[in-house]
Amino acid sequence: MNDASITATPPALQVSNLHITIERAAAAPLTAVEGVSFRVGAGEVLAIVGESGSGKSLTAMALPGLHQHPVRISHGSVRLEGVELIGQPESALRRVRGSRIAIVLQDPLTALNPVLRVETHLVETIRAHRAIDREAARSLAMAALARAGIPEPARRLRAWPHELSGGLRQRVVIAMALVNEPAVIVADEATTALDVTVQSEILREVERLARGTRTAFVWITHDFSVVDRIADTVCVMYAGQVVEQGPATEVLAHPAHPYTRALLECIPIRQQPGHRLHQIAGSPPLIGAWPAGCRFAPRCPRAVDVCRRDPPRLSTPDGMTDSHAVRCHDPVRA
Amino acid sequence: MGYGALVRIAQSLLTLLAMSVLVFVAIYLIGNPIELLVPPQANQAEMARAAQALGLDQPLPVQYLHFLGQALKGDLGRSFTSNAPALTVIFERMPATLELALAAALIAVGLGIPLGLWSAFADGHPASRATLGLATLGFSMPTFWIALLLVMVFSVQLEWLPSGGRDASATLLGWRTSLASWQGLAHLAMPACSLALFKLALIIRVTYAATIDTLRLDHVRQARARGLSPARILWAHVLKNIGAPLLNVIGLEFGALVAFSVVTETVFAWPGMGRLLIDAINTLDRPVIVAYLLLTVVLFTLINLAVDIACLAIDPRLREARGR
Amino acid sequence: MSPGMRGTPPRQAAQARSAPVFALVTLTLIGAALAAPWLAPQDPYDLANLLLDHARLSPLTRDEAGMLHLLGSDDQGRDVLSAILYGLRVSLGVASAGTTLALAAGLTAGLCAAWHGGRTDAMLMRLVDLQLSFPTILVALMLMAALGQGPDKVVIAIAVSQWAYYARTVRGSARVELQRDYIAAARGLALPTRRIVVRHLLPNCLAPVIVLATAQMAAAISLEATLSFLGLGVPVTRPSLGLLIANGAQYVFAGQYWMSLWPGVVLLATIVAIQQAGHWAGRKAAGGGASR
Repeated sequence: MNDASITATPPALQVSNLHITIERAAAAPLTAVEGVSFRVGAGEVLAIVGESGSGKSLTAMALPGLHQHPVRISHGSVRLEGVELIGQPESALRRVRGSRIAIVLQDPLTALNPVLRVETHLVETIRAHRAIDREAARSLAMAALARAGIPEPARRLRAWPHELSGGLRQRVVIAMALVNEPAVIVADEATTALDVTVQSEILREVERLARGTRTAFVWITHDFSVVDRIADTVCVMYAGQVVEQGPATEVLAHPAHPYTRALLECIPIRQQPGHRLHQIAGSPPLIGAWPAGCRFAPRCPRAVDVCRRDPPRLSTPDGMTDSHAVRCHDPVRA
Repeated sequence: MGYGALVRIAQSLLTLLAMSVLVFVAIYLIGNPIELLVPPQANQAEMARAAQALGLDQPLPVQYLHFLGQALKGDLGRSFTSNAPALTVIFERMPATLELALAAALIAVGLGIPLGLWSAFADGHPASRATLGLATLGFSMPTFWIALLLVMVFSVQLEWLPSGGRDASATLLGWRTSLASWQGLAHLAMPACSLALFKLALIIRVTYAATIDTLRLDHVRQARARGLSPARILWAHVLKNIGAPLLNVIGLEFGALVAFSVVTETVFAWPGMGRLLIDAINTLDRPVIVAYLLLTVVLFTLINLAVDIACLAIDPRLREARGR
Repeated sequence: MSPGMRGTPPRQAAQARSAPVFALVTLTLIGAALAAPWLAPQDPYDLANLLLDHARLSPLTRDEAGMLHLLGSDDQGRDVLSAILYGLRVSLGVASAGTTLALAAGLTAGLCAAWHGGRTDAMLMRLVDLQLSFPTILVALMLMAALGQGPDKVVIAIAVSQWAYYARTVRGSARVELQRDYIAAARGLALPTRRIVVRHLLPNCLAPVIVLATAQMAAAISLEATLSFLGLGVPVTRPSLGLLIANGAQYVFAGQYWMSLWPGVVLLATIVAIQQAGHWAGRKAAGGGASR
């Protein structure tokens, strides 16, 4: 990531200082996501990691402006290929969704409409954005299925969703995302519901697509082993904030935030055989009920008085790579 | 699909058979069966002769088969009051009832589905809540009471609409109907509306509930995320999904409209077969009662069958489940 | 047009607030029906009160005897308010008798189907499906045509047209209960079937049935009123609300609305109040979690 490339071509997706709030009928709105910033270039994979309630899924839905009352983006900027999306009218967002930025949801069982054929899903997505006839759309659809690694695309095109396995369905959903060759694909826990072997195949496919088609991926997950597999950069979220971000290799090798460290220690394969798996004590705070000071302090084994008093800022301490930032008063040194 | 439809048809035939037994038992065996078949003023000897001539001294199953055979030939006896074949009497009155039920169904479906959809899309909005509240009230209103209220307001107070009767003097495609003239429509308006109200309320609530459930599903979120237009989402991702349950309700309720028109026809002196049934019950004109019940049962079974087959066509999952 | 997903809590809150009101109205109406002989200004069944020169007095007028008719008098000279109070008695009486009978029949059939399972279950449920595919009014009309009129016949008609709803509900919850450990334990103790079903199974299936019964009670009142309105229900000498409405209907065209309107208002209030109270009770039962 060098600065020269920013001026030449804008990154596929640049998010700055994103704030998401949940409005309430009789009370002040809750801030669910606070000050999230990241950028993803073409062909890169960014992983956003966090537990449920960390704000990672809210962030994902916010990117193409899919929030509905009472959730709302209160502040910040989302630039897709250099174009600001926040504040755009619904009609303009609709032109972008599915064509320049696509979403893959967690559960492939429910993401496809059971009363429509696979073909209908793909063709309607194409024809929502391009004025081409049904036949041309059908051949594009078939090509997208093939690119998503689906064997016998012509036969699958005529299938009903319930006739496909979970892995195939998720590939169909990915094909739906691919079909208009978007700049960015946001995948929200897209492999969580699948078997480990199927998950592995799909991740390989994603990696291939990112490199081959120069599509940028934002991969939302709670699973660090997925990060390990595919991510170029990673954002770790906790309680609505980014607590650590940077190049994936950097963060995995030298986790600086106690939370990141604790998450990494939860992965079985990274531990020595016979070593006890770690658990993070306590549970994450509820949205809006954030602790004063550092939000992780109540669960942090390293917390001291200052952590419970002053909220830390996201910064790069001395001795760490420039692009690696952490939100901690006392980061872990390698 | 073909197999599923065949199963449905077979089930419908069984239903018809079961209902014919029920009607036979209910009407022929409760009370003196001979009274059903000879005029009430007949004397002992005539009744005995009739009993023998009609095979009423035979064992029950034989009697039933005889009844069934006659019914299949379209012979359900003659009306005591008019002496015309009972089926003919009913068929003369059927168009008026079907016209009424159809008009009511159009009102209920034409208003109910859009209102239900809108209430779901604008869920929480005061107008949506008001619609649903009124629908709940409409649910509780007995049909005859609505009819009377309409008469009180529109005929007696405002004097806008005639309080009863049917005007089918105009023809449409060779069919004498109220739908073809203003006068006819004025006579039809209140009966149709009062008959429709209950079903309207029902369809609003069913559509609302089904739509709310569907809007929460991932595939609708996914459809929005793919940049589909609201119209496309509404049609392909909401309406198509709630189509099968909705069609079920509408089909069943069309049958209920025919049954409930008995009440509406009584209030508005509408010359349909429901009014005929009440007259027949009051004059103990049993062949007409039997004919009405059997015809209604046939009508119902046909509607249920049509709905089932239509649902098979709409929802691929049903085809899978039932085809095996 | 974005598919809105505003929360439902405000509506539920509003319903929860109005629910006690409906319960109160229901109790008041039942109380009024029970106390009709003491509350009513006149005995509408006393033939001495049927004076044609008192007939069709408008509301709030006094007859020659000096009696004030709050809601007017009907075509026979009966005080409308008194007729309504006694009519409510008939309506509620017939409807609750019908509901009770339907409940008893449905419970028996449902428990029987769940306990025996297999062919008994399949046959009973096929019958239930068949019955439920025809509207209640048609079933009721068929019965009235076969049986003739009278309050007892209306009770039977209500029971026959409603038992299937109970049977289906009871069977559903009984099948769930039968899977539970306490039934296995009772079976293990080799208790007699009757005792297991009546003392162990039945009490645990009652909650949803009671909720259903409230809704069906409202439907029963409506059905009785409709049959009586058609002249197929209760006899003219002891009119229910539906029959009162029917009797007054012919004078509606002459602008003498009160003979039909007030019984109708009371009828509607009764149906709505019972239905809403039942709805509320149902929500409570469902929200209260496991009812054990």
